[in-house]
Amino acid sequence: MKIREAFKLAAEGIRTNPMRAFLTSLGVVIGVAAVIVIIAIGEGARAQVISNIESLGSNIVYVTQGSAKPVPYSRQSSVLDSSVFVTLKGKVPGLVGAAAELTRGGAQVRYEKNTVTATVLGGTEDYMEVRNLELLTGRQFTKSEMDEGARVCLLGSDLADELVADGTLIGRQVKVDGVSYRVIGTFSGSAMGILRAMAGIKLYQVLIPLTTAQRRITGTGAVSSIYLKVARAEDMEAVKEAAEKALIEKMAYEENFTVTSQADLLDTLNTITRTMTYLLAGIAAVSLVVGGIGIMNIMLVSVTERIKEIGIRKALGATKQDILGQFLIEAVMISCAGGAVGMALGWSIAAIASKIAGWPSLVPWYSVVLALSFSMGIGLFFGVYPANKAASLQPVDALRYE
Amino acid sequence: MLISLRDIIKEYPMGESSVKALAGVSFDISEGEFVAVMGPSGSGKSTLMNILGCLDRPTSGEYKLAGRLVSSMGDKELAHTRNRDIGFVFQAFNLLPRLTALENVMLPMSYGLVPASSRRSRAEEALGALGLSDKLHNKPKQMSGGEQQRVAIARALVLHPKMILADEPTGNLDSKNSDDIMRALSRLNEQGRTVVLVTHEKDVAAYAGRCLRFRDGRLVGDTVKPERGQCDED
Ligand SMILES: Nc1ncnc2c1ncn2[C@@H]1O[C@H](COP(=O)(O)OP(=O)(O)OP(=O)(O)O)[C@@H](O)[C@H]1O
Ligand SMILES: [Mg+2]
Repeated sequence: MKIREAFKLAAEGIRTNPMRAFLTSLGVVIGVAAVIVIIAIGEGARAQVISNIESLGSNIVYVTQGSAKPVPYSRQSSVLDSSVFVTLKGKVPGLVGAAAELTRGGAQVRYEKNTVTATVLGGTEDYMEVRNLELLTGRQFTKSEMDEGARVCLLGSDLADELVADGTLIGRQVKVDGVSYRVIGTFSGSAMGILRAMAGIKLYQVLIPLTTAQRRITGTGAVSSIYLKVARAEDMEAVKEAAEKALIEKMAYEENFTVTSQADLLDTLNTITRTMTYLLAGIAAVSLVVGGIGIMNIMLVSVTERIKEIGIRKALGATKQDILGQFLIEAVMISCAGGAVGMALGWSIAAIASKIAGWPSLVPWYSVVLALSFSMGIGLFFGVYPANKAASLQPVDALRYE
Repeated sequence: MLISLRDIIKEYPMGESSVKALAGVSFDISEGEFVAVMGPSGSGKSTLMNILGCLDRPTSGEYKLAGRLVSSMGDKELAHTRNRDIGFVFQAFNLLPRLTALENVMLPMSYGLVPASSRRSRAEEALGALGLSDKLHNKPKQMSGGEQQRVAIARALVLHPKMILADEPTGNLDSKNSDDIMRALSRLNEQGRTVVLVTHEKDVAAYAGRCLRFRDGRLVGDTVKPERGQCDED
């Protein structure tokens, strides 16, 4: 029997009981759709996070307190502080800007009756420029406000919106942990975009001069991180090395700090999101296996129902392969049709989900190939047993079956 | 010699012991013969026909079909033999209920070497020869028993097999329809085809040129050109 006829025959088998074929393929539909959606959302989220991080400036070197390498306790005394910042700014070549930051989360920001828990950012002069924060309204800190540690602040846009529904807060006093600050402006930044996009989370931030933060929060000259903005991307490594060298000298040879770059961060994030995506897709793939068992189950029923037909076909000259082909192709067709429908379904869900979340919709080619070949493989694997059972029947036994 | 059987035994296991449906049967049938197989119920007639039709294998013994030893054939060769050399007609018609008369008759051709273009015309021709030109597109359920059996005969002869095997083809039919079927089989025999037929009815057996009688799995009578009455059940 020619392959085209075998396909026609299998299609006919499906046509005689379309509802059953549909229900049989449902497991594969759901499995494939789940895998596609999860990979699409995972990849979309990853692309979004990465583009957000890149929009922060791909040429920033971060210096933070503490080291991933084990440091003896006796050598953890040195801290990052303003003097370290000044040293780095002076000694490291190839920079277009540098900023230091002191952060503290969980601060209570109050305006009239509204209280919002926010993160306080203490920043140096160039802070907004180096961190790609955008001034929305008002003005930035003046040099004298910086130097004297004035109680002035800029509110992040989310925080400003939360504190007052409409109207501006510029010129008003807000209380941060009980201390009054005068609002001089608002800002937004791509830094907020990351979190906001990931889960619709609002990011409440209030920016004050570093000197003010050091005086009010820690009472010391310590800073949380230092940002070095590198002029040319190809100088990143050189800047990292220069910064490490300067830090070791400055901090009395204690390596109690970490120097990272954008690239390191991206690598880590890529690995984490990929692992998560694959893990979830793997879980979804389990439903594909369940779908395959459903196909096997129904194919066995179908073989039993058609034993007489198999006997007649054999009596008329069907070979073992003819019968095997008929049932195997039927199983593969059911599961491939399920795969195709599941793909369309998954694609639509991914498109809708990404629209709602504001991600780019990413259905990578490999997820399509994977889902289709997987559903075909499932049809083959779970179809072989029933098909072989049908093909191995003796013609007399099959004919006698009632 | 078209068919040559030597010491054919067919045993069915029955618990500890076994039932011998055929207990050593030997005979020959030449090309062009019309043979009736008779015998009481349970004497092994159907068992014999299934072996002749390559639907079943004997427990032991030698079956040569057109000079070839059937026991040495593989699955593919057996299937091709059933397809090309043998046309089987069953008591229960055994048409595929979902297919039309035409499609049922085209079925053996889809397992054979007939080019797709000529299948339809050959099936129409075979059905026409049995007077079914106006029932081409009827499903089995939409036809009488006699018509269904004639479709089955058209299906059996459409590939011009060397022999037609019919196991009680008129068993489910009234005498009018039986006569139609027997005339069709006689005509096929006159055209040179070998016909082997199982029957309980002597009227039906009278169409044959030779009568084999079975009892308890043994051949107990082999009459050529039986006069009326010679092929009776005894
Ligand atoms: N599959 C089987 N398993 C066990 N015994 C069987 C099987 N098929 C047939 N037999 C036995 O073999 C013997 C011969 O059966 P067979 O069907 O050949 O008889 P028959 O001559 O065709 O009878 P009938 O005229 O009623 O059709 C019977 O005793 C029957 O019980
Ligand atoms: Mg019988």
